[in-house]
Amino acid sequence: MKKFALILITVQLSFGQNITTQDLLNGLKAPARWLTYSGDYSGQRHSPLSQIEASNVSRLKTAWIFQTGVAGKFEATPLVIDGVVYVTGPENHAWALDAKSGREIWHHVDNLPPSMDVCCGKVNRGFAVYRDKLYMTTLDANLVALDLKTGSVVGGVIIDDYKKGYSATAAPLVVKDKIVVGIAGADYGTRGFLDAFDAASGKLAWRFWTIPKPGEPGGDTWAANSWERGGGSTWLTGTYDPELNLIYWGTGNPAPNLNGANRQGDNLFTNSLVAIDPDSGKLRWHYQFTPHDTHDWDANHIPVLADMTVGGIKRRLVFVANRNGFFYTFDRTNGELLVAKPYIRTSWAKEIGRNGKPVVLPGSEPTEKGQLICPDMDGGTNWMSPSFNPDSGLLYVTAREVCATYYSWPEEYKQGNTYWGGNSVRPRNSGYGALRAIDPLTAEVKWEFRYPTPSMAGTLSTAGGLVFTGDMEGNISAFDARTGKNLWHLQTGAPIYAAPMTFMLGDKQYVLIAAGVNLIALTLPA
Amino acid sequence: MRTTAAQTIIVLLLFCICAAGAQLPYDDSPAAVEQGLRIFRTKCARCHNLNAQGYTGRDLTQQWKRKLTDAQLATLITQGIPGTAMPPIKLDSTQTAHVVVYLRSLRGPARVDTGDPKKGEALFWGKAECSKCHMVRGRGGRLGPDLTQVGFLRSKSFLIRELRNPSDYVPRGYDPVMLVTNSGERVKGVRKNEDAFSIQIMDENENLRMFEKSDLRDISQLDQSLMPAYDPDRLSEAEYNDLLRYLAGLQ
Repeated sequence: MKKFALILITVQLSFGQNITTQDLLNGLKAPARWLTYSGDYSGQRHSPLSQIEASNVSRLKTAWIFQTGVAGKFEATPLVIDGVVYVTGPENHAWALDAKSGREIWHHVDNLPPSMDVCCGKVNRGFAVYRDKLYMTTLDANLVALDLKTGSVVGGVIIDDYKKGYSATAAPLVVKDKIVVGIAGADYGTRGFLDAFDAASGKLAWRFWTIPKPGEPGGDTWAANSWERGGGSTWLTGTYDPELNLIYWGTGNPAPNLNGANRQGDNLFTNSLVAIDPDSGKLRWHYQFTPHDTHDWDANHIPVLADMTVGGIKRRLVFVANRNGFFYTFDRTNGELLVAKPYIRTSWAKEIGRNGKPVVLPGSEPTEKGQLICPDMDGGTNWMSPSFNPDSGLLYVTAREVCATYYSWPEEYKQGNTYWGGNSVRPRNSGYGALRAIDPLTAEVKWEFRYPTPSMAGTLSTAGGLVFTGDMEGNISAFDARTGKNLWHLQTGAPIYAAPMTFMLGDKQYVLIAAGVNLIALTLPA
Repeated sequence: MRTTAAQTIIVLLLFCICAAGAQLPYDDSPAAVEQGLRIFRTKCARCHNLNAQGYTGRDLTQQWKRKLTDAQLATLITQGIPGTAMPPIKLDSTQTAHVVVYLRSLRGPARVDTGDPKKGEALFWGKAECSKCHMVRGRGGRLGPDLTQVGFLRSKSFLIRELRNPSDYVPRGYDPVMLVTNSGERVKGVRKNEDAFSIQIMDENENLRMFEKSDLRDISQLDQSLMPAYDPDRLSEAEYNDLLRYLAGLQ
């Protein structure tokens, strides 16, 4: 207790009204803070806090509940800065709350256009913070800046035209003096990109198009002019390595999602992991998980960065449990593929070949009559955050074991309309979900905990040797990181679509998670 | 007196207009149903599944809790259901009408012209033993769904399928399960709900039983519905038609 109190006093001397580049680089070293979507730039979502640990987590109790009153999937990870919780919600609501009591300090809501079609719910996954401003993307593809203390709008830029089908839901990533922002819209046949805005001026510093034009590198992987509606959205926050000076970001499906007839070619850089220079926006390396995809297997995942010993040598790695059912580990300096193996049951590819490309099996394309393929469109895992414990050496992934019958049909492009070219039927009662602890060096599943239906909640790892997560039936759970034993759970009554986070407040550790339409705070009894 | 006649005519006209408004003036031809399916699979299937049997969104082939007119259904589709995950769906009135027609094609009412409903009723409460598990107007069993309005809510083809192959489709709340407790007790029943730590069932004796999974050794989902298949060994063709006619009349 004393140790934490000392650190807290030290931190509070540099009061949190001005979050600097150094603060962001410090990541989770400041115990009272959570300053970016994934906790820190590594995307490990691993907290050094250990007050809550295996021997006491069974006594965890609810500290407070904040009810948003806003219907919709609550997917956000809150930020916490020195006693204040900053969280975004569905329909571009946002709140600042007192971390001790859960009481609202301010509430902001964006004025969205009345008729706006978005895929997959009117969600938002969280703020970014820099200096004295919070940054939030909006469903009509804007980037908005709010004042930390009051929630007033103090700036905003249009990212792109929502009428073309663009939308934005990801928490931005602040890198040095830039706000890096992903875009959504591939379900509507948009051309995807990643943007970086200068924090001071709001001007666009660079745009990396995920879909190249003919003549550009990768431009020859699109037939005719199918690149114009190529997809490749960047709708989930990426990660950053300050030493290598590289941003890692996932890209999404090509369009139309399930019908590849008019877009022959690998369709770069859809369903890929891209490594980008944050100063110039130039592509340093890429890897495409599912070339010419017809299953909607977006690669919008958190690229988890960790340094591990491989064959006796310390290597800089990035790992991704992919929607297509395979687990991949790369050298993040150059994209060298080190591990590529299934972590769920797959039926579409025999293996990932030596050249890094999947060896696709026959009968794994959607057809007009329907074709059973594993996994389903939502995949082996989806956008939900995995977490990595450097002590256990395991990545905790919310996995899904669901197959589906995929159908495809011709689809005509119409601006503002969905452009899928197909859909699927998932059998209601078959398939299940599981929390899986995966060894990134072998892709082996070391332990699992099964859910009756697949979960869409992310995981949080802590130095207390715990993994926190949620599930579709409404349980928040704490598991032993090494054995997978469930040590505590709370039934909150509604599906959980977010990942947990944790912070110190005074001398107490809190865990926060969005559940149903509520933000729930958990702590140990006094 | 002439005024009264005029008033009567006006009242009748208004009645007709109002009655017409309660039902959309639509064509329910196979072409219209096909159009509705095309819109459904693009706008609705992501949440309600391609076969409309539900995924994250509700099973639209299930019995609906509320009786909706076509106009109310159309409004629900285009305006969404506030406070829920059902958003407004951008459709013009023709498209909406097609979707309504498609949804209606998935459900009742059942139109059956052959068979004797009185004989069917006797079978329901007698030889066919339906009433052992199903209730009609407050009488009968609880293990299966209440059938008081089954003729209104389900189509003829649905009733035929359920009678012949009940395991093909089991509605939510009636999935057959077999539980084995830590002390070795075997409990068969229908699952009302389940999460990672608990399961709630009704057993074959109609007892509601709630279990913590830590008290159970095994939970198995059974392949076969608890409802028997009414094949020619169980009911003759004539008896089958009589039962069907009775069920279709339960409106």
